[in-house]
Amino acid sequence: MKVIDVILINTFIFALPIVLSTLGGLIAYKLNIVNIGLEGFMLLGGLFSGLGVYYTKSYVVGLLICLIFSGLIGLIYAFFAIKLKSNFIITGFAINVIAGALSAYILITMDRKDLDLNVVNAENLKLVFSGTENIPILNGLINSHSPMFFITIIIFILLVVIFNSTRFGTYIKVIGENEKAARAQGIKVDLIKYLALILSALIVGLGGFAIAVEQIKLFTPDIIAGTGFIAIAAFYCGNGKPSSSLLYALLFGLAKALAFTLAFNMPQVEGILKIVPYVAIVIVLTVTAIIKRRKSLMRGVYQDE
Amino acid sequence: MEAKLNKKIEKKTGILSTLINVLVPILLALIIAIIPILIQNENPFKVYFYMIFGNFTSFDNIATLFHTMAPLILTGMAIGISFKAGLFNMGVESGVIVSGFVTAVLGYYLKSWPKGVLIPFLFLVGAICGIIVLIIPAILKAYLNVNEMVVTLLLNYAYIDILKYLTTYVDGIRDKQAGYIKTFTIGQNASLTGFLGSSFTLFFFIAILIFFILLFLIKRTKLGYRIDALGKNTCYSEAVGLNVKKSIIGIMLLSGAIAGIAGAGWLMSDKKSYALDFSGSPGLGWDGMVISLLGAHSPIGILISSLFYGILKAGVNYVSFNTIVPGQIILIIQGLLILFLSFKIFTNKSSIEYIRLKNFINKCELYFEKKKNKRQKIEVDKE
Repeated sequence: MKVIDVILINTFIFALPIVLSTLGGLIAYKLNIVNIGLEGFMLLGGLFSGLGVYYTKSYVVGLLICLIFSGLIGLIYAFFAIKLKSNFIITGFAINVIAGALSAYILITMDRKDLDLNVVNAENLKLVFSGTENIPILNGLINSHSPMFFITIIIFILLVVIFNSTRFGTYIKVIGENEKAARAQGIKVDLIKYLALILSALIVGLGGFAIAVEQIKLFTPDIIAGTGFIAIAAFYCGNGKPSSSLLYALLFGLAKALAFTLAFNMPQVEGILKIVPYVAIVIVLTVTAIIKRRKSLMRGVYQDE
Repeated sequence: MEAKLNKKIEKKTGILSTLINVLVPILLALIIAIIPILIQNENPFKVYFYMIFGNFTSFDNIATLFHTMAPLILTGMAIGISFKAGLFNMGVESGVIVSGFVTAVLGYYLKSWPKGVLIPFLFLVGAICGIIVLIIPAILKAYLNVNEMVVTLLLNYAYIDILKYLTTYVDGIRDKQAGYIKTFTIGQNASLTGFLGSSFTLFFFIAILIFFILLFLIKRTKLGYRIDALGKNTCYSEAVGLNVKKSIIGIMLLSGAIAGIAGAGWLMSDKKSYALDFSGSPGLGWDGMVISLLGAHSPIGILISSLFYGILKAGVNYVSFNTIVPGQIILIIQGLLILFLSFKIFTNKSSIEYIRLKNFINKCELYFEKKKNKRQKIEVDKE
C-alpha cells in the first residue's frame, strides 16, 4: 500500500509541469497554432525563476519574475507568429534552441554548473494534513501538495470557464476554426491572438517554475528533458479539450512516476527505464490515432488537413 | 516576347528576394549576438574576426573547415528533403548518434577485416541504422497521420537514454581504461586517416559524392516531383494519384539513411570512439536544420550554407582559443539564425508567385497524365 502512496505522490509531482504546459499549449492549439516551443518556454521560465529565487531567496519574487519574463517571451513569439507571419513551427523550435543556449551561456558567465534553488525550501511550503497518514490511497491523493498544485487547479477551472462561457474563449475557438470568417465578423483577430498567446506563455512558464523550484530544486540547462513535447502529445491525444487533455497529461505523469519509482527500487536497470515514458507516449499517440481514424468518415488519411 | 521578358523579370526578382531573405537574418543574428559578447566584456569585432578569418590562416585550418563541412552537408540534405516534402522530421539527430554508436562498436570488433571491405561495410551499416531509427515515425505518419515531429522528438530522448545506458553499463562496449564514459576506440582499418597529416579525410569526398547523387535524384528523377508535390499540397497529390503513403515512407527513410551515413563517417573520420558528446552541442542533426533553412531546402543552397555554417562552427574554436568568449556563443547564434529564418521578408505574394504555382500544377498534371497514359497502354497491351 505504501508503494501506491509513493507512486501517487510522484505522479502529482511529475504530472504538475506536464499539466501546466499542456493547458498553456492548448490555448495556442485552439488558435490553430501548434507551439513546438513549449520546451523552450518552460526552460526560460525555469531559468528566470531560478535566477530570481537564487538572488532574492524569495518564492514569491521568483514567481513574479518568472511571470514577467514568460509574458515577454510570449509577446516575442506572438509578434513573430502574427505580425511577421512566420512559420510558427520553426519559430517555436528556435525558441527551444535559444532557451538551451541562453541557459548554458548564463551559467558559464556566472562560472557555475547549476543554480541551487533549495534556498526557499519548497518542502516547507507544502500543505500537510496531520490526520491522514494512516489512510492508504487518500493520503497519497490529498496530502503534501505544493502551492503550485492549487494554482494549477485554479488555472484549469479558469480555462474551462473561459472556453465554455466567455466571449474571449469563443473568439479563440472561432479564430482557430476559421480566421477569415472571424475577421469578416469584425472580431479583433490580432489582439485576441496576442492575448491568448501571452496567456499561454504565462501558464507554460509556471510549468518551468514548478520543475525548477519545486520538483528538482536545482537549475541546469537540461532539467526540462522533453516535458514540453510530452505536453504536445497530451493535447494532441486529448483533441484539444481541456478535461481530456488533462487526463492524458496525468496519464503521462503516471508513466513517468512509475518509471521513476521502479528505477528507485531497481538501480541496475535505471538507465533503460528512463525510456518508458517516451515509448508509452508514442504508443498512446498511435492508439488514439487509430481510434480517430476509425471514427472518421473521410476517405484518405490526409483529407482533413 | 512579353512572356520571355516576364520570365526574365521573374527570375531576377526571385534571386534578389531569396538573397535578401537569407542575408538579412544572418546579419540580424550576428548583430543581436553582440549583446552576450559585450556582457563578457569582449570586443565583438575581434570575436567575429577570429570566427570568420581564423579558418583561413593556415593549410591545416582550411583542411579542418572542409572536414567540419562534410557531415553538415549530409545532415543538411537529410533535413532538407524531408522539410521540403512538408515532413518535420527531427529524427536526423537520433539517426546520427545511433549509427555513430553502432559504427564504433563494429569498428572495434571487426578490426581484423581489411580496410577496403570494412569501411564500405560500416557506411552501409550506418545507413541501415538511420533507416531503422526512422522506420517507426515514417509508418506512423504515412498510415495513421500521427504527427511525425512529436514522435521523432520523443524518440530522440529515448535513443539518447538507450545509448547512454549501453555505453555506461555494458561490458565489452565501454572502455574502462578511459577517464570518461566512452566505447573502445575503433581499429586502424576502420578509421579514415587525414591526407598530409591534416584532419581532411576521404569522408569529405564521400559526402560530396552523396550530395551529387541526391542532386541528380532530385533534379532528374521523379523523386524531386514527389517531394515538391507533397510539400505543396498533400490533398492535391493524393487526389491526383500520387501514392502519398509510399512517398512519405520513402522520403523519411532516405533522410534517415543520409543521416546514418553522416554519423558513421563522422565517427570514422573524427571521433574514432563513441562518447556521450559524440554529436557535439548543438548536435549535427540540429546543425543540419539551420543549414537547410538557410539554403531554403534547395540542394545548391544547402551546399553553400553548409560552407557558411562550417566557417562559423570551425571558427568558434579559434574564438574560444583567442578570446574570453566561450564556444557556447555558437549555440546562441544558431538559435537566433533559426528564429530570424522562420519568417520571410519577401513572401512573393504577387502575380509572379501565382504564375509559378500555375506552372507547377500544369507540370504535375502533365506528369501524371503521362503516367496514366502509360498505365492504360500497358493494360491495353495485356488485353
